[in-house]
Amino acid sequence: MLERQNIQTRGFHNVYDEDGNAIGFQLCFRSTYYKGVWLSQVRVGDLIVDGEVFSREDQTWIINDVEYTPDEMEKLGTIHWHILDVATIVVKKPGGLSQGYHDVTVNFGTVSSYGPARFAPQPKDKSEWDKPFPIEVFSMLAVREYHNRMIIV
Amino acid sequence: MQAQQKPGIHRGVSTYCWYPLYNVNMDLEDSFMIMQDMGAHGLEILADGIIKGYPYPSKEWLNKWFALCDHYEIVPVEYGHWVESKLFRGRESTVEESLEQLIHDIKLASYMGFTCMRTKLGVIDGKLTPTLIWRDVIRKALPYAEKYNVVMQPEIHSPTRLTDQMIMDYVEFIEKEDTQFFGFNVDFGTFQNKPTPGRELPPGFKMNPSLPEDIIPLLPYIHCCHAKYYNMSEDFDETTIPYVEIINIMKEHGWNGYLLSEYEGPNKESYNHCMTQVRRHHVMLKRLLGE
Amino acid sequence: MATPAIKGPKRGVSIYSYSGEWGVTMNLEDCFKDIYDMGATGVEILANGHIDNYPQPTNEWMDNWFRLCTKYNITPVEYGHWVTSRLYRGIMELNTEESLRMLKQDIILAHRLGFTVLRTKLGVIDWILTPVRNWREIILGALDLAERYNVCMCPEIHQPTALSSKMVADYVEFIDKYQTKNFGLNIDFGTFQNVWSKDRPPIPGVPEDGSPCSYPHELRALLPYIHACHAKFNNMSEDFQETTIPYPEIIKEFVDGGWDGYFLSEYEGPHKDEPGFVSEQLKRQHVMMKRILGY
Repeated sequence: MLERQNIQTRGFHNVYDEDGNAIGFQLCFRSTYYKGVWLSQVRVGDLIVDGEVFSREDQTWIINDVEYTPDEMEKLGTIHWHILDVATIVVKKPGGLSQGYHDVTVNFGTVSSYGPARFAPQPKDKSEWDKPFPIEVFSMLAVREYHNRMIIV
Repeated sequence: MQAQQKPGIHRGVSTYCWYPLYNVNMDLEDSFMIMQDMGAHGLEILADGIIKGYPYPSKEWLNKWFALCDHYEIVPVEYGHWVESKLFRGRESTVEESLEQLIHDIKLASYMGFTCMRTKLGVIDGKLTPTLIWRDVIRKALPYAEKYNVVMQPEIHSPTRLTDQMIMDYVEFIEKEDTQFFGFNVDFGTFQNKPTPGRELPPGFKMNPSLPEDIIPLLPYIHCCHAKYYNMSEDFDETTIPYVEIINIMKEHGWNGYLLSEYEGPNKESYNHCMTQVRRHHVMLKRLLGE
Repeated sequence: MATPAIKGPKRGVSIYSYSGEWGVTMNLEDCFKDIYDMGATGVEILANGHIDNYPQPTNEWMDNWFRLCTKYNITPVEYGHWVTSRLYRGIMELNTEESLRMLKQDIILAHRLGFTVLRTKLGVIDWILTPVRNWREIILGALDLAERYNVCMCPEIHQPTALSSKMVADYVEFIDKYQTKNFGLNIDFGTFQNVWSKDRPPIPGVPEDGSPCSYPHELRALLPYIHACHAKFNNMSEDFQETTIPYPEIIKEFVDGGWDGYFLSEYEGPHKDEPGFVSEQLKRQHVMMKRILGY
């Protein structure tokens, strides 16, 4: 089942290699939007833990048991990420996260076709409203921050 | 992270911790996810609340149970159940009626992989004195417990103290029957020596807790404990129960078994509260156990 | 599945209304129970939100869908889906061929689930929701399939779009030109909203003087083209009034015009993720609609 907020507290733990060494951590993330998206519409940004920045290159996303890099997702226009399916974000960090509280920020967005870009600033100049959108509105500005404060045991 | 099989004190969780949200926004798999996050492998369930179709779960449900235990490295530790003494209007259940319930639970617990049972006997007064026929019932169930390799354990729960006559009676019974299949589960609430914030005692009332050292002579009879907690602070301290002393005593005396987290504090119904409390609890336990 | 005998406006609910609780505190059956409690008989789902494993639901999911429709006496009315134009980075309008691939996939799935109307959301190209420039080619390419599967594709006419706009005139012209029953309109009642919160920021395309985008009497000429409506609402008071949209006037137009179809409730107000809040709002709205319709 789902927790209400985007960053789920369930599923937050360090990940280990076969010898038991922590090689990173994972957390679970869900979209709280009312519809799913095709993987090519997912925009992954930096993931930040206590100020330490993990870029999209440091992350892989597991959706329905398949692991993708953010770049791979952007090319997949026929695989659907359903809103009830929680993504697991796996982040490389030798040694893992320390025991205790962590402030976690996920930068995430989706592209939408059927309305003005979500979270894109509305043009102040009203004459822009019936002009076709500039293309970068959809590739750059759709990402938004999500926060949670969670405990590594 | 492997499930620990070596001797010593291990960590676990009772599903009791989140019952108001169970099947509202979390299910069995979610419980297991949290336990995996915390490296707490031991599990207590409350049979009638968790087992779909209890007391006769479907093959399908049981298959899912085993698959989930396997996937999340869960060790079934304690099976919570009740021997209902007030089953029929106007009279207490007979020994036979009690046994019928108990034997079915022994078989089901064993099949599901549990090694302990939290056997809740009916009580007859406010001090939680058990039904007068308890010796008969338990004695007749012992051969089944032995055959199916599960230990029946009443829970020693506040306001009962570890020095009460009830405990002496249990110990005497165990010694007389010379059995390893009856023991008890100590609920750490019996050690509570500070009030839960927001639940201060009315004037004139005094707390009357068991002392940590009271547990020493009983350790051989205890197979698992309810690691009760009421309030975990942001810096990972339980503020109402002397955990440091209790755990140190258990460590020093070489006790083996599982501590099963049981949250009994306020705000159980608010989203994420219990999940945060349980994670704090396990940070504390991990530190005290030196994990 | 029993279709209600009533000819005229019928009551239904869009599962969109429950999106704040979806998967957290409510599943499909919980929604259906709620709808049944309201005596409503139609449903809209959003394919991309409410079908597990969309666009390939399992047989098990399909079986459960039909079981629920039967158990709660619910008619599948409208299937919400998207022709996603901005599917790939750097592309504004998906080409006609790929758009048709998506659209046809949804026509077939909608039909398999028993739906007769599609809320076909086309991609837009500006702030006032002008559809992609190849919309005519896309729709034209799907008309045969829609006819074969007996479904009607309907773009949603949604605030700030006015009933008197060129966009609506273009759609009507297209329908008349091809004499098709398989393309039509879904009217979202938000276009009639005439009460606004104070100091609202300007909404592109919405009149700034507080007047509505559309008036109920403008429905009259459009009724033959309308196949389903979003009974949009923002706030139902305790005494069963919608405080921002003139429901009595709107419903009168549909009744007087002899319109037959479903009003599908769409709650767009606040507190969507507060357990039970939307259910109560929906029930208030259905009390209102029941009183106005008389059934």
